[in-house]
Amino acid sequence: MAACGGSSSNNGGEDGKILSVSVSCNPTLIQGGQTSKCTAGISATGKAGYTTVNWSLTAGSISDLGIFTAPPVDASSRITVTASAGGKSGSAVIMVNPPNTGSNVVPITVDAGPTNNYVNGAFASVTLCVPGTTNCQTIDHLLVDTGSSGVRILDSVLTLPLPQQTVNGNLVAECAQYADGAAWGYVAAADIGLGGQKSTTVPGASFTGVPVQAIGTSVVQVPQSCSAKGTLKESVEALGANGILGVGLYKQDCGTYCTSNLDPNFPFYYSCSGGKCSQVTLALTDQVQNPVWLLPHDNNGVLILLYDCEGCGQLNGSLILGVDTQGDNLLADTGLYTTTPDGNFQKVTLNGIDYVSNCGASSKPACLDIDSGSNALFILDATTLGVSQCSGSNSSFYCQSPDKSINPTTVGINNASNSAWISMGDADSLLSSHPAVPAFSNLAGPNPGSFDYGLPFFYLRPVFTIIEGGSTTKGVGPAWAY
Amino acid sequence: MKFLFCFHVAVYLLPLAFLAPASLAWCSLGDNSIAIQSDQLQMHGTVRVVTTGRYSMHEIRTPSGGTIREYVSPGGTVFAVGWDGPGVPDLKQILGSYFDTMKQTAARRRGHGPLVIDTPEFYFVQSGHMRSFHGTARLPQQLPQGVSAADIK
Repeated sequence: MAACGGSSSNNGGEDGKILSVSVSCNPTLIQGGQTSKCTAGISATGKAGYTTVNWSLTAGSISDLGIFTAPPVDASSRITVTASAGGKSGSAVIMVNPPNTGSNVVPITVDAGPTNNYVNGAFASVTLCVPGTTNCQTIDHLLVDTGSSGVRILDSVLTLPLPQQTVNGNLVAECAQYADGAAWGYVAAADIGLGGQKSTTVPGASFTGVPVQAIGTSVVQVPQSCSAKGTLKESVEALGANGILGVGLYKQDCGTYCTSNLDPNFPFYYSCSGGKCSQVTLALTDQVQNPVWLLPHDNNGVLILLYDCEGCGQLNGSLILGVDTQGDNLLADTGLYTTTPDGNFQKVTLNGIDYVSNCGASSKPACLDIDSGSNALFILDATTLGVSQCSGSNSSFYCQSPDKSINPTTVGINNASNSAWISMGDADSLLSSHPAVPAFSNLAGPNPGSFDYGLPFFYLRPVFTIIEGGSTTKGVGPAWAY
Repeated sequence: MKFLFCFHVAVYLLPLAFLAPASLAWCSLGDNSIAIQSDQLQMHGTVRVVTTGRYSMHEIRTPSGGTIREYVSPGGTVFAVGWDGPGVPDLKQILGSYFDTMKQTAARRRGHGPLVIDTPEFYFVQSGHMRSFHGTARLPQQLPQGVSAADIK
């Protein structure tokens, strides 16, 4: 494939040289016999960029124009597509025939949810039990959220008498916080069943079961310091789901900040007695836990697979437990990008501009992450991107017609990088349609100075989330791989 | 009932020794600095002030290292605010009369993600997740002469 115009005899020497080659394929999750469009990017000096690349594959076929075709077979495989020129090469990985059964597979559905109006929400079920008993409840339509850690269930949906967590004899409650609101509720202990496995213990804890949050105000009233954070998501209508399945980068939702800080400006955990709650520190063992790291195995992270795009009648999906632990969750040649301690890329580059991560700081802040719990691609602003923003009730989104595509490069702290094409379309038209499967790969919106790759990023693209301390063949978490 | 001045009035009227490391009353977006408020939630931390010809910026650094900034016009109006930290700060205090608008817009939103409100009267953005949040808010019609959105962090 020609990267620029020019004849293939002009390939270096005194006319410059090739510095690097990269490959980007779209989609990276297909069925046997389907195609993917691969593009080679060449960075070069002088005229060296005017050249063709040589393609090589581990399976399947590819045309001169970079159209890859997967072998027409049913078996799952990971295929590496490599482009080389001037002694440099780059590659991309395509997953063919995603696995959807196995002891470490939790089915995901993308549908309108319990409020019948959700878009771009990936939902899964968990089974909670009173610790050490068979008194269990399966709760469906929890939002699968790689941007947070911890299991949270609306108290109005929960029917189990889960033991309430206490500290010094007082009830423990939490103000869980998100960019668009807060969730208040008490902390309880449960055995958490995910797929074919269960998390039942926190190492070093003095209690049985795993801390989860029961969202609601019937047991403890919400204190003013929590309602001051914004709108409260205390009902199915407000949340759009029966709860949240936080399977993100961290083992606990708050971490060491909450074991030692009592900054009244930023409270998270509270001790409540007689209806009055005050801020407390809480040991790591007692905080709300990411259920994945407590599984007996396949516990270093998750892989999310969402395939068959909108219009195909059905969106299948799997939350696969573990990374590089079984045949269905191998990284193979997939690139891994480690995050900052607070869960951001090192930087994202677009059109020659670097957005350097600094999410919790005051100078040139940029929040750069991948987050399945966000329901669109939230990128920069309309002026910077050259797109239109919606007015009226959809003002959180872009109304861009025709679609505009961009190819940002994300860089991990480990300096590994990758780029992916994403498209931004017209939210007014998408959100007024009511397809059977409310999955819109081109739903996008503003997020000034920042990049938040929500669920659309996961469509037809395997995305791994590796928990802090989780070991894989390509690096240790916290990290993403795609 | 306590009567507390917005802290930057205290800066001008009271000796600095009174302030550091003080519990300070905080003004809200849209307030004028001579406003007197009662029963205010106090923010604990240390303050630094940056003055330019066009506005002054008052930044409080909280005990955990989070920061909250107020941008004040020459006439004494808080025309913008900004914040960073491990959690969401007291937005009811910071946004003042604009807090309800922010809540209502957030409640109407379809789905989850960063919150952006962009109207001629009120602009708000908050991004991040537990462990790090960043946000700013401003009153576009009250930006002083020579001040642009880029000045607000």
